[in-house]
Amino acid sequence: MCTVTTAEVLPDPMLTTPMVVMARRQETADTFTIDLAPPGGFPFEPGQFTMLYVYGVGEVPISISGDPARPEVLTHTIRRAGKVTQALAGLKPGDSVGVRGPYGRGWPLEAARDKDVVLVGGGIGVAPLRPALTHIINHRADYRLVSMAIGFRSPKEMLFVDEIRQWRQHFDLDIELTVDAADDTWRGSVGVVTRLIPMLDAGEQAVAMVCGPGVMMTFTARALRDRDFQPENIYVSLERNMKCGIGLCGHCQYGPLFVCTDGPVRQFSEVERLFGIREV
Amino acid sequence: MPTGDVTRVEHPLLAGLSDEHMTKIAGCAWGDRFEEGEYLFRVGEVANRCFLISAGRLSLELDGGERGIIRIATLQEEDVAGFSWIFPPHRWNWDGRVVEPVEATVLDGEALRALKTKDHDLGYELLLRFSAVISDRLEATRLQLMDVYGDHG
Ligand SMILES: Cc1cc2nc3c(=O)[nH]c(=O)nc-3n(C[C@H](O)[C@H](O)[C@H](O)COP(=O)(O)OP(=O)(O)OC[C@H]3O[C@@H](n4cnc5c(N)ncnc54)[C@H](O)[C@@H]3O)c2cc1C
Ligand code: FES
Repeated sequence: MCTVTTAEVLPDPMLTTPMVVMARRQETADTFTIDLAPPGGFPFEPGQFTMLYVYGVGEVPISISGDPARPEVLTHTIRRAGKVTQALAGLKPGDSVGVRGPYGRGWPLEAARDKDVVLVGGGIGVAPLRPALTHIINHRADYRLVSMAIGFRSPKEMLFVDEIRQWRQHFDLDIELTVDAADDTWRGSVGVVTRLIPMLDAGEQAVAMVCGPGVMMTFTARALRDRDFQPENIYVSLERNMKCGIGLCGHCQYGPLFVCTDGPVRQFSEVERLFGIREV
Repeated sequence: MPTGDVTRVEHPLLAGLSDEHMTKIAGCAWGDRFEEGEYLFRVGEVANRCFLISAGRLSLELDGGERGIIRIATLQEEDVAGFSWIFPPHRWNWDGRVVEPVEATVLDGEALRALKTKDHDLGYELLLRFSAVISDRLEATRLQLMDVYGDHG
């Protein structure tokens, strides 16, 4: 009798698929977007991430920032932070990168159907929200009032400039933009993103999706609570250093959660307690 | 918003005020409109006005010399521009430049100071409300200083 073990049948979950860089766009001085060509397509849910492997350098988790309706292109928007993201920044069209995924729990787009939706993104945190907004635009009739508050450090550090301009032209989207600091050539708003929240068009039952650095998410959640948003309707995307991305190594542990499999998107009410703790 | 004298001031800052207090405040208030590029106040000038904004956009800024104009905050609908009228030496610390035509109820700071000295209950109400504005502005400034988009995690 022939016995076959599971390990022999299932593909190795740590194996990466090589993908070719089709295009690269510089967004700001330290942030860029790359489009990869996934063989056979790459369906994903907005908010999910992949593990990107630069051969000989290392692997990092990066959220998918492209259009979920176009699985033939896999898009990531990346800010240079250290060794691996620096190597990713050096990739040119025609180069190859290893990809695993998609992984993790995405934004609650199903739970938000027939409700008002508020998206709040700060800095590189706008990238993981972009597929969610694109999905909402593609299925606009499924959602009620939709608004988004976007914050950047300065006009020079704005991502997706042309696309934000297009979003603002949709009569059925309320897109508010602000920067922390600007000179007099900037005609838009100056101030932190939380200052936009009282202005957004949304009822108390709205679902909020928030992405950015921890401090920004904490203050945003507080401002949403001040507007009587239900704590369980506020979702945030968590960030932790990762190794395996599939719940095996424990590297991404955040209190009782593994961010790679239990997240990255969670209800703020579940993680609020952990936000204030230095080491979890 | 009508310009000229007002009988009531419709602005969140004054929501819930008694009719008696509202009448007193309306006595030192008027509606006005300001065009793009106009300065509502300039740094160093005597601060004897307060603007309760109902439409438009006002930029608070400072001439940073070689750094050019530094924009600190933008105020819009439902915001309040000006609390320097409360505290000596009653001088503006920023320039207030209109970036989108502003409609506002203007309060006469000098008249308000006289009112709050005469009527302590009204003075208390006003200070409570302006303290909330100042505290909000302080929190926003702290967040700006923290550079919240700077780092991961
Ligand atoms: C689920 C998830 C999604 C992400 N999506 C994106 C994205 O869309 N775009 C993007 O630019 N980045 C994203 N990141 C962050 C990205 O993974 C890190 O910037 C990257 O791992 C840094 O690796 P490095 O080798 O370049 O830098 P390293 O040399 O490893 O580190 C450089 C500095 O960044 C810090 N750092 C590294 N990773 C993290 C992290 N995850 N959280 C906090 N601090 C960290 C290190 O402590 C160090 O100070 C995401 C992270 C997670 C967990
Ligand atoms: S990264 Fe290994 S368990 Fe999450």
